[in-house]
Amino acid sequence: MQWLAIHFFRLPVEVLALPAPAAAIAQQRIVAADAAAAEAGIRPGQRLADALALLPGLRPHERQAERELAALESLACWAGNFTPTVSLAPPDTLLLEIGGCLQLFGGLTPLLGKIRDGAESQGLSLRLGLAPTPLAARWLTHADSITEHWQAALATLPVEVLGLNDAAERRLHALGLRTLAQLFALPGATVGHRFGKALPLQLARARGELPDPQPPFAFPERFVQRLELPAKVEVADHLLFAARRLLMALAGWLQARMLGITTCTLVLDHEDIPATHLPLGFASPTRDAERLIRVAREQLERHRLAAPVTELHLQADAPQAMAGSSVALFGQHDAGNIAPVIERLRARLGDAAVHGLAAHDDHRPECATRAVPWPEPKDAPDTASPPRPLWLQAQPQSLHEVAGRPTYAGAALNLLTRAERLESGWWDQDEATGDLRRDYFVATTAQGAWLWIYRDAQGWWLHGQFA
Amino acid sequence: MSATPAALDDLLQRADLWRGGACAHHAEATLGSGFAALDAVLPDGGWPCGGLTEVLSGGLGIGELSLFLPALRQLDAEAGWIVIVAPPAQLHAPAWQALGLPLSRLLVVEAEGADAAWACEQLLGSGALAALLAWLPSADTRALRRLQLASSNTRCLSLIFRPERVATQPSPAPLRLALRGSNTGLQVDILKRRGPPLAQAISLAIERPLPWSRLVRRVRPAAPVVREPHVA
Repeated sequence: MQWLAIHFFRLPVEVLALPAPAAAIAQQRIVAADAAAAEAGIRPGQRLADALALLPGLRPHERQAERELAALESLACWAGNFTPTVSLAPPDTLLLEIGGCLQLFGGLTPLLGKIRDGAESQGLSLRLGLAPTPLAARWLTHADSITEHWQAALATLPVEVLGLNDAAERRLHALGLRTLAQLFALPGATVGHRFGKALPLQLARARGELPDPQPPFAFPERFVQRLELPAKVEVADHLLFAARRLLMALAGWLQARMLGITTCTLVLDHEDIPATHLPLGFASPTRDAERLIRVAREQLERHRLAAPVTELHLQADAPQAMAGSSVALFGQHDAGNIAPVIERLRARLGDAAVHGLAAHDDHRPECATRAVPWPEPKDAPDTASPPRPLWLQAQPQSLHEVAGRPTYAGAALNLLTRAERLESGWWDQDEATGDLRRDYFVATTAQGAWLWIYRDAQGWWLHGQFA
Repeated sequence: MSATPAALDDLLQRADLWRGGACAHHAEATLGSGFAALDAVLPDGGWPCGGLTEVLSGGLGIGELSLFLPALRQLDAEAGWIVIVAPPAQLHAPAWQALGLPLSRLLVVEAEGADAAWACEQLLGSGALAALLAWLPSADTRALRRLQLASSNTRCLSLIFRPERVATQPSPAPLRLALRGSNTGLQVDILKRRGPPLAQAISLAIERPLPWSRLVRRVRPAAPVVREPHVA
């Protein structure tokens, strides 16, 4: 077991997404300050009056515990990207069991890199701790150092990491106990007698002498997440940052539940008018955060907001089972996947603009081609037929007749074949293409172009080109 | 003592020494064109995979696609997708299938103007393409340069079809062809290649719905028939 604790130490202020410098406060004391405020000397526990004296431009905001919890649950979904074993340690810490997934990510360093990048792109600050026991990992986040010698690192931690009450801390200091190493050296019974029975148990759990089972985070059955925006947003572009948090959580949720989606809906709530639904479509089932974000970006860049947005929802529509991917054997890798780029094209050009083709059994040339959203995996067997052109005109082009012969661009055409009679389609008269009675010819022009033309009751028509 | 002069043959082997009559050799992959006469004049002996090939053609139906059919047929499922961007007319699926192009790996992208060039760039960037066939009549030099850059990092046969009239405009494509139809075969004029210019066009008997001989036989008697009404 390897437990990775992720401590979002600025979560109370970062969920508020206020412009810097900002701080979350409770009972007129600072709870968390953002990076700009921390640089100016604002520390948790300071009185608001002192903080404002230090930094008059500080934006204080009452902490919102329920939003922090919602954010932590959303982050737990995101952590599903890395491991299925996630536990919450409210108010601001996640515990991930990563011993089983190191191989998949190619070692600890790449995995930690991914976690740090992911948090950074969501605008979150984190501290990490790694240890074989969950409690030690949580405590080690205080030092934010990842080391193999976790026991040595644990011993050097100050006693404040225990989170005891002020009176107990004062007594520890009075005894000259400043680090955990000093506390570990004392007999457990004495510690229990002086500081309550819970403390020796905690110390034993941290060192792995007692079991410390963690309740696993239950990934929700349905993914519907909402995100309240700190201020009304008037430009769709600016929603991407907020949408990114939701999409990354969705990707993690899908990963943990072994699902993929082909559509999801981003709902933009407005103040007065009904919400806008932005469907995001994918060419193939996916749970890749990058793909989700790319399509969302295309959609948001091209969307004109009807009214300012106050809140975002993201819901996964009809997730379907999707197998996991394995680590490549012998360094093989696939030649790149076309699905992500197709999604990007569809998001910009429209769904119908990118399609595959399927041959349909119909004698009428207009009906022999069907556009399909995705090419059919198996090619139909070839059937021998008279020559057919690669290009077909959407609307047959009328040709003049001079002296009984069709002309094209003023010059007579040279007919090379006998007439091929196509007569078909009585069944969808007045509904679709309908009944046809045509004589088809292969013809060439003086310029060497090969055309497919036909004659019907109305005259001569150009229908295709043998490209 | 003076050093013995290097033998001429040794000098000619040097990579940094280029003779005016030879084509530049690149390490890029190529795809045999299926025509010996054409392979002989193309640098590296085939269509380049990676880098644009600009095809200027007089109109639809002269065989602008049939010229590339032998190469396109060589692309197997491993190579990737064949994508058609902004086709000038509808694709007639049964014909594509009958000519040996797999519909299961063929995608069509309908786009116009700048969107078409953008789509090409995105597609080339994915690295999942075996061949790109794009009709970009209005693309400017800048758009083409972007495509040339995107395509040079891939192993994709990138064909950009453009009208004949742009032949005088400069183009960043390392290979430019002008196609003209005729009664004896497709006339392929290599306007630009990495090598010395070619004096004359090559005539290729590309695949047509009917044998070329049929065309020659039928043309001669047809000529007087056309003129007679004018004389009278």
